[in-house]
Amino acid sequence: MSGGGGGSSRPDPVTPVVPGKGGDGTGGGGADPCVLTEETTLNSPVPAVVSALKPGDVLTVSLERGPPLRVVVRTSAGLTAGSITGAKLPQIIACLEAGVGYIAQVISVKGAAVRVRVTNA
Amino acid sequence: MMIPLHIVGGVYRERCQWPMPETDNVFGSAGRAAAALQGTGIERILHAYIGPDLNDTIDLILGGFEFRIEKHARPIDPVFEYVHCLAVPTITPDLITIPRMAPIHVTAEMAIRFGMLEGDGVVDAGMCVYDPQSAYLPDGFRANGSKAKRLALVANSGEAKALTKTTDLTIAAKALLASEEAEVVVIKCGLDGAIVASANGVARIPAFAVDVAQTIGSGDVFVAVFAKGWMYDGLDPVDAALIASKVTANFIESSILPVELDQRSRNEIRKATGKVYLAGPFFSIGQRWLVDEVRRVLLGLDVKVFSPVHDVGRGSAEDIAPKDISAIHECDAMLAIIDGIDSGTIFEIGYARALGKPVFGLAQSIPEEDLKMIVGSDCIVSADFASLLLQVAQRS
Repeated sequence: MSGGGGGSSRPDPVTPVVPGKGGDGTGGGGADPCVLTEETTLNSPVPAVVSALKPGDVLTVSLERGPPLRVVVRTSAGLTAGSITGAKLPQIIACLEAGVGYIAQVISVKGAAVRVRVTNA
Repeated sequence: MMIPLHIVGGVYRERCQWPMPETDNVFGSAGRAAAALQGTGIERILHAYIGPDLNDTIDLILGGFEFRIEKHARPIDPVFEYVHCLAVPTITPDLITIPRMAPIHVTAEMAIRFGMLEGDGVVDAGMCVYDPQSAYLPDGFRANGSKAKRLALVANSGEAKALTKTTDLTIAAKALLASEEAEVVVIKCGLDGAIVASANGVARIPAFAVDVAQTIGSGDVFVAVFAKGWMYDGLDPVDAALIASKVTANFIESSILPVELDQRSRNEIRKATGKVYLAGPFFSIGQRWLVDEVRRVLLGLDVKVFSPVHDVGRGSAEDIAPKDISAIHECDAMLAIIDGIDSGTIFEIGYARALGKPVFGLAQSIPEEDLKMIVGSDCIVSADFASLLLQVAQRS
């Protein structure tokens, strides 16, 4: 919690823009909120699944209703490798709910730490 | 049935530019501690201030970690922005404009309390782990009326010094046992590990080496894992702190939540004792800022540093060069900021390598061709600021 103050600008809020709202499919006239390229480390990795992953593998990104509701990354065999978290999660969920597809390409695997690049399918 | 763990503390958005790619998370100390312990069988209830930016989304963002959130309103959600993970964060809005909220009261058998920017947690607990979370003006646990039958204070060295007005951390630990009416005091000492004090005496536990470092939130993970060990597993506090140190190393290396609780084989950190020559250009604001920042971080890691601009200053070639050359001889290693390919820096790297001194190079935007001689002469070159500086601090 320690630190200095002094910033003047704030990042975009985490409230998702609903795809298609505003009639043009772009969430009201701006850049399409569902066009996404993001690198992240999978949380809640499943050791038995991630141990078989290698760089370049392409995984699917999907909603797992749960509860809890999660965005999970699955292999082509349908096995859950881990989950995606972070401030952009509400936006990704809104886009998945609207039918937008994403893939996650494996960048690196080190132990249970799997880095993926999430892009539009 | 296991007793639930109530965690009161900050939930904040945290963005970090380096190491790349940028991370953008919503955890804060309390959110991260609650997430860290998913899968342990401990039911976790998070008590935190949540503002308008996060109110409708926080359950989605943290919901996957399977803990309950008791929200208390705040007018704005502070954001922490880090240039790199060892940086002093910029907090928006300005600290002075963040309103102080009425305290959150928590009555629980088991609790973790973190200090907060915008308010406070008043805890009445059977067992409690308290992390003051304030570098400047940490509060004692009982100062706000909090009570605990069994208290463990987990503070960093700066907080312990501020709370006791002493620089000797062993003395500080003993003093805090008395002044805080604590059963356990743990003082986190960075690369030096931690001091654990209790009625059984004072012990030191090591920190453990990692290959790469993403340090944001590592202290929160330590607190969560220590609390699990001490409160739920009934471990001796020294054993609980040792496990927390090992698991924290897992987290620093992987950033994975919930934490990996395995205690894999790791080397204990052996902190280097010599002096590091800080080579790099300082002729523009950006260059000078980076030299200052590298020096600040190294000094914060308790590394002795010779910096030409700080320790010699500006002057003529006849005046400056002999002093800098002399300092290269005296230092046992060099940290070189290679970006910009400054002629003086490249000369200093070559001079140090000719003397057989290890050179660690920070290079984030340099063509591979330009690094050929540097890499080929066994310099350790990295674009990862934090990992490189931690490597310098642990050099053998």
